Amino acid sequence: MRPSIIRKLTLIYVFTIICLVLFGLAAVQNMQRLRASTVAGAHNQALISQLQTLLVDLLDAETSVRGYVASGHDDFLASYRAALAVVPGALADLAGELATPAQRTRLAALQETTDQELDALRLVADTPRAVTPATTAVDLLRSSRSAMERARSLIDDMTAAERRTLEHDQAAALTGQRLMLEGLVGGGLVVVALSLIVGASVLRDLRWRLALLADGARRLGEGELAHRVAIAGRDEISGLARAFNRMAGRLQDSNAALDAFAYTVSHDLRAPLRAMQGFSKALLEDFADALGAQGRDYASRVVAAAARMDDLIQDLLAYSRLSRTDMALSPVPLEEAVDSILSRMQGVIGERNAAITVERPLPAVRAHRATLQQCLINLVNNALKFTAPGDAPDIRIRAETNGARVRCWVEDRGIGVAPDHHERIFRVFERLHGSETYPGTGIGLAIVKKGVERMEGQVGVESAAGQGSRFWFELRGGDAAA
Amino acid sequence: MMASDFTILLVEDNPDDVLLIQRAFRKANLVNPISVVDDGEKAIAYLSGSGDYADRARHPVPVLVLLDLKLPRRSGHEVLSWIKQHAALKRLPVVVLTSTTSAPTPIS
Repeated sequence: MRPSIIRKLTLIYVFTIICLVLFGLAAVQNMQRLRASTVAGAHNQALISQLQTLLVDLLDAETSVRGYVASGHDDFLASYRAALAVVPGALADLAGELATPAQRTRLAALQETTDQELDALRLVADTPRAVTPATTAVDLLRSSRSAMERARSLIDDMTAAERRTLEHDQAAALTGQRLMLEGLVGGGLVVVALSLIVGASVLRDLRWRLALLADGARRLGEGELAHRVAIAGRDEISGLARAFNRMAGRLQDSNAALDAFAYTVSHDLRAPLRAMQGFSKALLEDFADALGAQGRDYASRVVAAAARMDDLIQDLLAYSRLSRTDMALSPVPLEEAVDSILSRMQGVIGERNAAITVERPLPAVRAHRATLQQCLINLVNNALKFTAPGDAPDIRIRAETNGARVRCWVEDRGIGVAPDHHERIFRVFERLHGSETYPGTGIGLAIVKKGVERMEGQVGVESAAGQGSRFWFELRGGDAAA
Repeated sequence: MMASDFTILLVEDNPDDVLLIQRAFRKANLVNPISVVDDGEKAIAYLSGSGDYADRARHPVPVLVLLDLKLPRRSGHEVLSWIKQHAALKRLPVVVLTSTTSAPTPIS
């Protein structure tokens, strides 16, 4: 079973949207992590510089006390005093900011060492120089120095630890960013590729099946009612194809019903007519004397009326058959068709004492032989009929080739048609004259028009009242490629 | 043998047409007896000499069949193909009576 096309497209669409949302979320998360790592990095840097400042302060303090001992001048103690003022604060700050337990342990050790150093220094600095024996001062300085060395190594350790954390964070942030970029590019490519592949297959499939449908519609339009579109599945297009096939089936059925109807009409409707005609003729033949002149007139009117109705039925049948018959067009020599119908119409032509001129040679046309002959018969009949009473019809049949098309003219010198009526005369049941003067069913020219149109041609007339009529129909030439 | 020995079978359900055909035969001075049946089933029964038509003295085998196509029970086409299947009736001429100009189903 084919999945629905709409569902397929919706899936592609939803898939793309979900991927976009996921990418967006990943990007936001990554940016947050980057920001956090930047903040953490700055914090680490600050800690490192705090530690360095502390180390410098402690070194300064020691150096200044050493200078005091060496020189005996009080002013050497300025740096020592400054250090005393800032070191406890700096240590307290560090305690508040160090994150890991290892660093805290180191800080505690540093605190102790710093206290030892400062205590030793204080003993030297706070005692007047005269009072302190030189040896004691040297011992104190030495102990302060060793505490100082321990403090330096602790601070170095702590700085190194903070640096490691900083580097680790930066490396992690960089990796995250790289992964993010690679993920975005790779994922994007996958999404685009998948959409393209699935989309292209859907489109190809869609185009192929639409072409099948279009072909089916064209063939149905050309009257190939038995044609069905072969599209299986459960999606929208196959639904359309099924509906199309159902429609074609219904059309075929109703066409068959119409054919049956036409058969019924031609057989059943004409049977009573035949009886009317037959018995009236029997009356006229077998009981002519008994009927008397008036009776014979009535009986002949019954015969004539029945004959008119028979004509009408025949014409209607011919007209309805024209709409439904399969019209396979092939090259037909116009001259042959004209000769054939003229020989068939010899009776009527002789009756009317008509002169018919055919301008030979006539070219071939693309036509349906029987329909072409029917059209010619009706045009010639028309020309024979519409002559002023008493005049002998004078009819000319000629053709002219105009590029790929051939226009055939049937011209008469009869009563003509006023331009106002040129359109009307080709419609079914349109009559311009009372049936007394020019009897007819009013279908003849409609048959010509429909027949010519079914053969992919046009029909028309050039005429004015009293000027004769020049009827024409135009078809593709028989030599032209189909 | 006289012409009156050659029976013609008319298969026609429309009494008007039966009358007109009988009149046409009269007008043409044809004296052949005309047996009339009014549906396809009876036509087959007559031709096979079964049922009501078993008595060949009263219902002799015809020399010609005039066959309407549109008939009750069994159509003229069916009667025609039944005739074609029976070797004994192979040489029996059948004239199909129809007013249709086109045959909707070809006779095979």
